[in-house]
Amino acid sequence: MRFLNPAGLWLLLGIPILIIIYLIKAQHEERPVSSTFIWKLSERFAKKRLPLRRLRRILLFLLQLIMIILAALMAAKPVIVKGASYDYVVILDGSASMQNADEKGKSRFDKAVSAIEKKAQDLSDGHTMTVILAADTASSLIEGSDSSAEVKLALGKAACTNGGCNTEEAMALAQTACNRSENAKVLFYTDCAYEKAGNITVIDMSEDEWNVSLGSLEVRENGDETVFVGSLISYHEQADVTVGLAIDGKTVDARIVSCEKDVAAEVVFTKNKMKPFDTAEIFIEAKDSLAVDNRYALCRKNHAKYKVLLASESPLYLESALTALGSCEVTVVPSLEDVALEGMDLYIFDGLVPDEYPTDGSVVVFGVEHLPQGLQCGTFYEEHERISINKELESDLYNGLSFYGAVVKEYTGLLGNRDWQPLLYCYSVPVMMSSLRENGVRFTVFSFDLHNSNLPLMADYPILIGNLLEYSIPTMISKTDYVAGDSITISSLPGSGDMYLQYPDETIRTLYTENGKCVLPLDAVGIYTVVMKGAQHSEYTDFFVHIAREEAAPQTGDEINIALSAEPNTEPKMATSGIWFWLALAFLLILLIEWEWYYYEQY
Amino acid sequence: MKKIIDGNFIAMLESRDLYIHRPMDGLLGGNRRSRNYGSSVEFADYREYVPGDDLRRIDWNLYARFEKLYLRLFVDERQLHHRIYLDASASMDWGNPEKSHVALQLAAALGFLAVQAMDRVSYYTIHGDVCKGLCRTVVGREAFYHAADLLNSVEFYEESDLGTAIISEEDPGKGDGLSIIISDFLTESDWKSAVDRLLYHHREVFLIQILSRDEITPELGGKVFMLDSEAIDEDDGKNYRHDVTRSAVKAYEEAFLYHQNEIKQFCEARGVGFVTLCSDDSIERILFMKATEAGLVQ
Repeated sequence: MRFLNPAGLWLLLGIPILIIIYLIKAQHEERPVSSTFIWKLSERFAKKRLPLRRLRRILLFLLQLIMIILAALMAAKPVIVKGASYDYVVILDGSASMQNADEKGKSRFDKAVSAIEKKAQDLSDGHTMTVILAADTASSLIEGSDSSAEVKLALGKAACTNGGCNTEEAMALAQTACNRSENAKVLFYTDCAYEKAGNITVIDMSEDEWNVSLGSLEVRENGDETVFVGSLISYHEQADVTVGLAIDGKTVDARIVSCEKDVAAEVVFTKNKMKPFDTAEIFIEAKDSLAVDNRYALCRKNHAKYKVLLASESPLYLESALTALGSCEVTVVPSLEDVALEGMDLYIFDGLVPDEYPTDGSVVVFGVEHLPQGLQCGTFYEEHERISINKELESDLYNGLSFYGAVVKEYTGLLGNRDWQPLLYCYSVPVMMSSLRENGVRFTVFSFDLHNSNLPLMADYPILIGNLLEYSIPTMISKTDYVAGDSITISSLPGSGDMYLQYPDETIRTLYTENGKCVLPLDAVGIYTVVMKGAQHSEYTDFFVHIAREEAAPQTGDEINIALSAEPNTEPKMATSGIWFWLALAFLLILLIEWEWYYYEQY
Repeated sequence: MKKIIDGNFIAMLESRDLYIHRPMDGLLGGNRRSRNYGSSVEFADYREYVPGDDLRRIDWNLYARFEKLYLRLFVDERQLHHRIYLDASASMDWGNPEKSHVALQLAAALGFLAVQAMDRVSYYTIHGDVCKGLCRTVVGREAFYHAADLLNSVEFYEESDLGTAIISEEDPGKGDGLSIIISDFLTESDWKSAVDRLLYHHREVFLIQILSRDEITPELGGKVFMLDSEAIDEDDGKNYRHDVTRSAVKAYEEAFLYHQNEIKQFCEARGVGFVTLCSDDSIERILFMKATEAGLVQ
């Protein structure tokens, strides 16, 4: 025990003072009486003093003595020292790999939570605990708590995710917690083996559990054959694994694949004359430690053929490219007279200019005669110039394109406001610009004639037209493959009504867009379906969410560290343990007894 | 000095009389009947003539009726001699009002009642082991008033040994009146032997105990060194050191009760009257209630 205010012990001087008072009081007070006859006779009637009764004579003295001692102790503020206490900063890895479970079904995450709860039982000794959950984003579950019950409650709300472990954010939060403490200890419950952990105590929750993981799936069309190629790895053990293939949810084939330990293997399924499908999925039927990576799907964007109106007096280049894509119904009009500009997904005006551009679909214009608002003609150049992309822009438009050797012999520079984005340049002059309208349709302008360019003769041309088609016509989602933890942006289509998202567990959520877009976090692994109910038709598309490949593999890390107090306080913390309360209670109790006894004895 | 009697006091007493429980011998010329037949004018009885009787007492009417000779007998009225012993020790001069004042008033009252009944009364004060007469035997009112003045000047001091003092008295009287002892009886002296002696001399004995309120219910507390009023100095063995606690007070009350019961039992066994009076009580209450209830006064 220690005393926060040792000076309070001076009150013990009251003990000798009390003794002196009693010595003085021991002197009898002289009182005249008529006769002591009866008093002397009363000795016969006084009850025999048993040893305990003798104590009654000094009971008052003892009570007062105890009160002085208690008062001195209370003034001295005693505290029970229970040894060094720490401020534990606990980081809990909540990434997908922590879902690896043992034979009893207890995951690494569950084991980590149990270990933290057990650690929290020491909190009554003056320790505190801060718990940080490190998932795709790091967050504090509880800060500076000295209650094991509170910690347990907070841990009960934590859940393992399918995403990754944002170690940087977690370390930043841990550093903030450590900066507030003089005696911090950082514990990191993870399944990642770090080469260097600095001041952090890494508790590795992995037990090299066997896990077989499907990492990818590709589909290759080879004439009538459709080849499905998937990759898988068996971690920590060699295994012969049965891999199945499902097309649109129906199992069509299976293979036994022999996997060497920690070596990637390939599984190939070849199908002839396959009908178009929405989803292809490979799966493993195995009781390994991690189930979320036992399926891998490939989703195709499914839609009806795009309706394209091509207004051109010489539509050869464009029509052939569009038709070759196979994904659109091209309507070619040689003039715009009596042509209703409506009901199309894409309008291509090649040399022909309407009075008003349609708004119910995307527009591609070749020529600068009638430029839309925000766009102006610049200088006309009659010179050969190479076509180049906008290097500052990352766009799906450029997928598979190099524009190597593509040249334009005359072109007009375009000047656009900030709504317009340059896509192609001739030297540094924008010759292709695009703008996204409020209703989601895109307006693209080429300021050169394809006939004045060698572009249609290049291998890049059909790719460009295909990309342009995809680029121009809005789709609900930009891709069909996502990693858990990512966010997806779902765009509403022009003229769309209600939109829904069906999750892998078949729950359905209504989507509400803002500026035509809806951003959602993705955590559950599996196939999602976006459904749009339009006035004229409904569209749906699937996408697949999987865990990051590195989450399936044994986790390793380079280096982590936390800066602790330069001069940690090695003085053990004082745990007050409510001593003062009990002392005060005892003092009041004895005071009460002493009063009662004093007045009882008084006559 | 307080006057122990006044006109009102006397007027109050005139309706009272000392109560003598049994016929007693006394001197002739009194107002008290005795067992014997005497020569008063009050007819008592007849008896047959025996040669030698006084012929003047023969009832001739009875002879005429029965032709036998009968003598007429008359009540013998005697004058009693009461003796009042007053404990004049220091302990009697205690209390508020003092026990001594009550004792003197009572002694005076009893003396007046005796004189009123044409009896005689003697006052004695006891100091130490000496029983000393206060004055000559009181007969008649005039002598009483003189004795009352002397009572007024009685001093209370020292201790008193009632037993030795009364026993050492040469003439305690013989069956001719009351012997009244007025004391607090808070003494170790052998007063019981004195009572027995008085009874031996056929006295009718009455003990009057006067106590103060704080002797009945002590008001002490804490550690006290009790200085006895009869102690000579601080070293006197009468003085007493005691821790007066609640249990000590309980023991006192038990001892007091024991002492009172002892006196009562002694008196009851011998047919001795006994009454305990508190000095707080008024003389009127004492005489008209307590003394009457105790059978001392009627």
